[in-house]
Amino acid sequence: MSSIDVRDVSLVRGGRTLLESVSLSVPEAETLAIVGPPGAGKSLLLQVIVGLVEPTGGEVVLDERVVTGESPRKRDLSMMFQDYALHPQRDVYDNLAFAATLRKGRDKSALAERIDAVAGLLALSDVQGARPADLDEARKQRVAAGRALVRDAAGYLLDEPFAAQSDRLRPHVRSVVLQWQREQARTTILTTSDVDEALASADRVAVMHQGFVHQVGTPRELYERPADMFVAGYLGNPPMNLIPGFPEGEGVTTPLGTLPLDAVQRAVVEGREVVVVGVRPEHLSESTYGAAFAFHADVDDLEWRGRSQFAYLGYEIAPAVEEVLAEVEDLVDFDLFQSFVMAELPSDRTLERGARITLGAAPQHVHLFDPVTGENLSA
Amino acid sequence: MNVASHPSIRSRLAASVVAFLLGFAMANVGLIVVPRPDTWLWLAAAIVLMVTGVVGVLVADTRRDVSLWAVLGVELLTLFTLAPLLWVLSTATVAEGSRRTTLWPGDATWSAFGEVWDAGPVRTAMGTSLLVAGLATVVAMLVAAPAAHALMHRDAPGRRWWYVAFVAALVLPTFVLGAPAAAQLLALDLATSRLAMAVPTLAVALPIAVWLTVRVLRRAPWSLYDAVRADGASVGQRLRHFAVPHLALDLGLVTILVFFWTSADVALGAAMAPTDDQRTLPATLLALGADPESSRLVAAAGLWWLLPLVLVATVFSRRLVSLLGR
Repeated sequence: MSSIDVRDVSLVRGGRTLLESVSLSVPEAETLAIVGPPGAGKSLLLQVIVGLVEPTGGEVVLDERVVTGESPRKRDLSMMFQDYALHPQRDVYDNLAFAATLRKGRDKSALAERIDAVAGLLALSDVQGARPADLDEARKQRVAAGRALVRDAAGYLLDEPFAAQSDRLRPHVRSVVLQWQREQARTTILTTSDVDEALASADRVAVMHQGFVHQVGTPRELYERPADMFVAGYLGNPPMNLIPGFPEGEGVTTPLGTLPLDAVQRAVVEGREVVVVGVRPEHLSESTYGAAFAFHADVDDLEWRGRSQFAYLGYEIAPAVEEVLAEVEDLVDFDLFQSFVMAELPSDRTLERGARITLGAAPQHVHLFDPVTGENLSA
Repeated sequence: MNVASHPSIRSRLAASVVAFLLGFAMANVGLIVVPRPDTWLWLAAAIVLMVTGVVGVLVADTRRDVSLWAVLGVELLTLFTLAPLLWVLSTATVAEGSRRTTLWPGDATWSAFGEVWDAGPVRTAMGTSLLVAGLATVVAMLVAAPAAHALMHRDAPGRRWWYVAFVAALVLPTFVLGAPAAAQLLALDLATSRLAMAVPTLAVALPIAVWLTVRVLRRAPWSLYDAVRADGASVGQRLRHFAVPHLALDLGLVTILVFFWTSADVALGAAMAPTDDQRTLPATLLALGADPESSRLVAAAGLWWLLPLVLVATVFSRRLVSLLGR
């Protein structure tokens, strides 16, 4: 049980910046999910925290004790690896027990009980005599998670702990792992590329990309007030619509319609030639009463999903603006912009392709971003 | 149906024709030119090749996933491997004072395999080879392990070029690397003992040791090593729980291979040993081989020397194939 702080950690290898001034603070017994696309630096950050990789700058602090430079043994953090890192020559029971048996003075019967409990939670009781080669990927991953949980460490670092689980089992496995973590009151950092998983499973979420933490906050904070365009575009399923617009007079002209600005918004966009208007698909509705941003558009395509339906509404972007947006995407190395708006509408609404509809979004759901820095101007 | 994955009929027919013609040619040469009893060996090989040709025609239009070129290649490889071995065995089993002119070891006598141990020069040379190759192997492995680790893991500048240099050294004439060391030993008057030969022999042992050790380290599950470290394992525990189960056997195998590779080098031993005592086994066999009377002893010694390598290759065949690459 200890708090985990990462202070201004950087890592440069071969002239490449892999981690850039990363700062995170995880209070005792809290769960932090680091979410980001593959290659964001999530696993590397966990390796820095556990002590496998020395940062080139900054420090790692456990319980107000600077541990940078200390060996993993002294840090006492339990880590689950993305590729499971199981001992092929040991059976499941021995793999679960392995990390816990490396330190002297353990209570063997308590350890056996703990292994049984974790094996039961992770549905591994029947395969305790099997070797990793005899298990499917999902079970291997659960053994790797179990190995980390069995050890009575000060904190857990779980690298993509549920990625190999089937869609049906995944929520259950996630639930039991996090339930165990809460019962043991252990500080936990987990990484995932699954946005929904991050939002659902952690007290707080850090959004990471290209070795840089874009924003840290509660799932609600990140969802409602994304700090920048990357967070807005990455967080949420489907992602936020990002539409280029031009501040003109008292509003922002977009390819779909004009967004009227209040005095505060006018002040923040003043002097800018282009801004990006952001609105989530689920915040667009056909009720335009009280809407800050309303527009008419043709339905190009429809996807019926049972609980809701997605309407795709295309629009044209001037080539010059498209070039600017492409440069922004190249800079962040992420596909942010589309030439259509997506709206999540009730599934009982009868719609057809080619139909013209009117959509609107409430003022609190409309964001304005700087296209160059990505900063959320309305946050 | 994935037609592209099967060899074409034309390819199979071409292989069949080549196999049959080769067999036909061997049969003719065996019957007309080769004296008995070697005729039967030639005919046996010819029959195998001709049957391959016939079977090839029969299966050419089937969906069997078999390449006749590959079958023919394996048969020829077997032929080219077994024929020299049979020749050595035949030479080793000839009676003292007589000369073998056939490949087939008829009227075999096995006395040479015992006599070779009583032959002073051969016994001394075997001891020298064991000492020189053994010491060079130990030193090479002690250097190769950290060198390979650095080549694998460290961000050392130009490490790729270092690796290329080691691999290139494998194909350099051994004189190029070994002669300067031997010359230095002579100049410093240190080339007086058998063990001194280990220094130039390092030129043979070190490149192969580094190359093979890099191959071992590349195959090692380093993520598991990180996991063991993250679990808080001490240095001893890392050795016990990672290095021993995941590296020790392969490194042991590499050590054996390096030893055999080093001990088989004939050039250094023949050219740089200042005295007869310092000659390694291959160099001694080379010298003895010039005398027709000694050829049976030379062949017997060679087969004795080959025996442990065959044993290692048999016991660790799967691991060896995996280590050296398919």
